[in-house]
Amino acid sequence: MLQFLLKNKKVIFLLGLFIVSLTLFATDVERRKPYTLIDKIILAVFVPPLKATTSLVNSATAVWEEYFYLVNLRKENTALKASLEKLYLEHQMLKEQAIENSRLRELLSFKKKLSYTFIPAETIGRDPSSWFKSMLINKGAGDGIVRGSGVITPLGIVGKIIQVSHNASKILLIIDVNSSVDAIVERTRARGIVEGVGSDKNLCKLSYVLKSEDIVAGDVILCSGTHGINPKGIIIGTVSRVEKDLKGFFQLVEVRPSVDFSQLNEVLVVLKKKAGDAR
Amino acid sequence: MTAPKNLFLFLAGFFLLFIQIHPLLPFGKDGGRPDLLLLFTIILGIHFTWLPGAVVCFLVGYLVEIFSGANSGFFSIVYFNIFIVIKMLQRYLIFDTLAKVFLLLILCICIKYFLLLFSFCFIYEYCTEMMKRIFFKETLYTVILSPVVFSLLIKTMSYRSKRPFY
Repeated sequence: MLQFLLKNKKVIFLLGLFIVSLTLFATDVERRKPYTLIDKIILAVFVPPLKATTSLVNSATAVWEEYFYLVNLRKENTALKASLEKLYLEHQMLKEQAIENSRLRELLSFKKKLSYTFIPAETIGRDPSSWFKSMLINKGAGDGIVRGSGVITPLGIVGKIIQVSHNASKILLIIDVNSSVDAIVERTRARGIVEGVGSDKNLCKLSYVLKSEDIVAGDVILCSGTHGINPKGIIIGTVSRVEKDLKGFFQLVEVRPSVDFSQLNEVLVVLKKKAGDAR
Repeated sequence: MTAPKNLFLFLAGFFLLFIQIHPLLPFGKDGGRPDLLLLFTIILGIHFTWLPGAVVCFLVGYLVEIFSGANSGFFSIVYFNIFIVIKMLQRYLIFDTLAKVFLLLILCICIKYFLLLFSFCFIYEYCTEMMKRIFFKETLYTVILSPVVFSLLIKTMSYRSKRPFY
């Protein structure tokens, strides 16, 4: 037996390595594991140069934009002032509605809405492969980020934190094949699950929507907030294509996310506010 | 191979991974990124012996998974299998010219695609049409960058060596 093992040690070693890979894969597919100590050490080596080079280029770009693109500043300033006045009015109206809403909820003894805090972060790395859609950000457990937190921008939902190290975290983008977000259609309140399709055009699909539901191209898809990962009402995207001539109960709804993932530099990590947290 | 040469090669591998995950890599904004570590695996397959080469390929895959949205073990299996195929081919062929290495690259890209196709059919619900588009873009970018990366790796390996690598 020993002789056999010694004779075929090369094959046995290679087979062992293959089985290790396969076991790692099988267990991780079942349930994604958090970063191990080795992963964290490797990240600690890679993150500082990634942070340094990204911030260097971002600073250079900012200098370029701030000092060399002053030509259209006056025009842009006027347009922004006009939009600010309009938004201020809208804000006032919404504030009034929020107060009224809160008072009515109390009257009806509704469950209190979850409140959130946001941690701004910068992207410092992209997925090394073309097949999966993830990003690395420069904030980690040291900044209070926890696994499972939502990630958004003012334009809409970006994804979810899947792994956290001390100084960096990995986001699974909503366009990844492994991603799913509970969603509602703004106009009709129809429910569905927004899933990534791994497309090179960064698209998603709204799954499990019955053919009887009225959905048309241009409809806005919002986060339902059911799992408390992201605040309710955050935009996910707009419907770009609807196909009803399919077999089965459900229609095909293609969704174009409102976030441009190719230009994504800054994000906000959503954290649930704890009771008595003043942040 | 001597220890300093190995060290330089590993540093080159780290450098390639760094470039591959860097957000400023000009490729990839349209959904396809070049696979620089596949090129690294090919060089490992040609110039490393069975056991150390297999371990390094496993580690390359492991490193990719730390930064990727893929599940653990996925890229280890892919790079490990590509390495095994190269070693088996080496029993019958000698990859001593850049043209042969280039042909090997095309073969390795196809192997990678079939491995992905197999796993995506059973595990991830990937649309075949999208897979084709991403595969085309990834192949294009990898082939475009291959002369530069191969030259870098060959230079790294023939560092302090009296004879040229090819």
